[in-house]
Amino acid sequence: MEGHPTEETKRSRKLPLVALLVVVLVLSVLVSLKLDFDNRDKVFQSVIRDSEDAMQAFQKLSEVTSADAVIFSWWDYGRAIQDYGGRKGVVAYPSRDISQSIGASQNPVYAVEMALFGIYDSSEKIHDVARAFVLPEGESLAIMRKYAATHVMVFQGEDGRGAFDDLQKFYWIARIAGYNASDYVRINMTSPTPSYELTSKAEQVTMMRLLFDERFPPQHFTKLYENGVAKIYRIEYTTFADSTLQSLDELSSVPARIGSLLACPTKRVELA
Amino acid sequence: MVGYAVLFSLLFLSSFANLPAAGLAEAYRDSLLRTALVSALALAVMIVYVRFGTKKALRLRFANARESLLASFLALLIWALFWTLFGELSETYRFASEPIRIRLAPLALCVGLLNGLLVYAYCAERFVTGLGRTVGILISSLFGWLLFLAVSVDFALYLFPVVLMLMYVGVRTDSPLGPTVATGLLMAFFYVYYAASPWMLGTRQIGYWLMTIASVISAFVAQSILARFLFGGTSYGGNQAI
Repeated sequence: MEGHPTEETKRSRKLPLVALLVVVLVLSVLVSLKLDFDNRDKVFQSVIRDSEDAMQAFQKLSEVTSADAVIFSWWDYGRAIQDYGGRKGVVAYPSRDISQSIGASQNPVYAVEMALFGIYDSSEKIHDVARAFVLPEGESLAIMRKYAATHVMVFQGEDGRGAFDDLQKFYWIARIAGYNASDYVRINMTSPTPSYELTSKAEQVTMMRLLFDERFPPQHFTKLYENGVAKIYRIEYTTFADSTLQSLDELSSVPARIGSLLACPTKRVELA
Repeated sequence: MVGYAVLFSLLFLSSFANLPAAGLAEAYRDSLLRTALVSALALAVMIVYVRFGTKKALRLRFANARESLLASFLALLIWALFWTLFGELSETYRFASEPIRIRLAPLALCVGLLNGLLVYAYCAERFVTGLGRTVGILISSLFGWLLFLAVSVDFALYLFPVVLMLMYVGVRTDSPLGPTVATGLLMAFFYVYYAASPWMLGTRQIGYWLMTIASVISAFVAQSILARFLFGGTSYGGNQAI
């Protein structure tokens, strides 16, 4: 009989200790995950710091654009545009629905970290940016205008990691936009460094026109800067508006032309 | 528990330290230095606490050092052999290196040694005494593995079975020295090299789960071999079956 209170006392003493242990364990797991997440999160910014050309391209933004410029780029570069270029990017984080496109999410630990601590942009915005890069220039401009973008930055650099290579990222960009990347670019994976072959449809794609501007000169973008890693373009909404107005003018002149044609004396063919 | 609370609280506080943006090598170095400093501080707090707050002294048990080192290296060797062979033969994963981290291997070794001293030399014994052997080993291993994660040893999930295995060796040999040194080497190696799966592209997470499952099996094999041929059912320290 005397043993029971002792057992109960022991149990009542143990319970808070176990609860405390669980709390310490859970908090320790969270701290470790957060530290790992922060470390990985800094990697891309550090890779940029290590690349002289990349740093130069981002820093050039503050020289070739005005202080209120809004830069349109794939989300990977958004934070560097802000941190190193001092300009606002349209997107700086992925959306939850595209986490599969992020290489690190293939690691289950990082996937959990992203779910816990990741910052996300809206899905609509990310899909719009992807579509703007895949669609023809005229349609892309409408999307860029929606986000008040003034400039576009694309990346063509090869650093061995694919960090600054939009062509390598195009597979996912096209997929996110709802298109098939292989319709525009074929990837040859037989050699250690993959090579790309543009298809005849590539000419219609805004990103390809910006990346290969000498081959497919863009109509509504003016190149302000280029180095081994990146190109910066100014979006020429006026030329777009002019050409749109021109088209509208042409359209509006159609009834008048038809009228004038109708007013013209017609040659009547008479049957004998 | 107090020790771990101190350690992870300090790690949490250190995450707020805003270091200037730097290149990749500096970022890796800063992360390692932060963990090393925090671990050293936590260890100092624990030593002071043990010396003045409790009656139990911190014992490294050098008398069992030889057996502990032998068992730890043997366990590590068997695990590495099975795990690497499985990856190579099945062509599902192999080692890849992060060249920029090579110069940081000595620093990673120090972090691993500090981690080992904290986990095996002080905390594990108390958890095993308080919670029983199985739960004590499991909880201590989890805390020990979390430090691998905090340092960002890439894809550390498959290292949890190894830490568990070393924890078992530490308890069986009644000496933390072997597991501590083994953990240091493990940290230094896996800070530079990590296992990469060719399945990484195209499929989600399967490669990592496979590596982890293979690691669990390899650790189990290593532990079974040690238990059968080296430990023989008794502990070195107390001459009693545990």
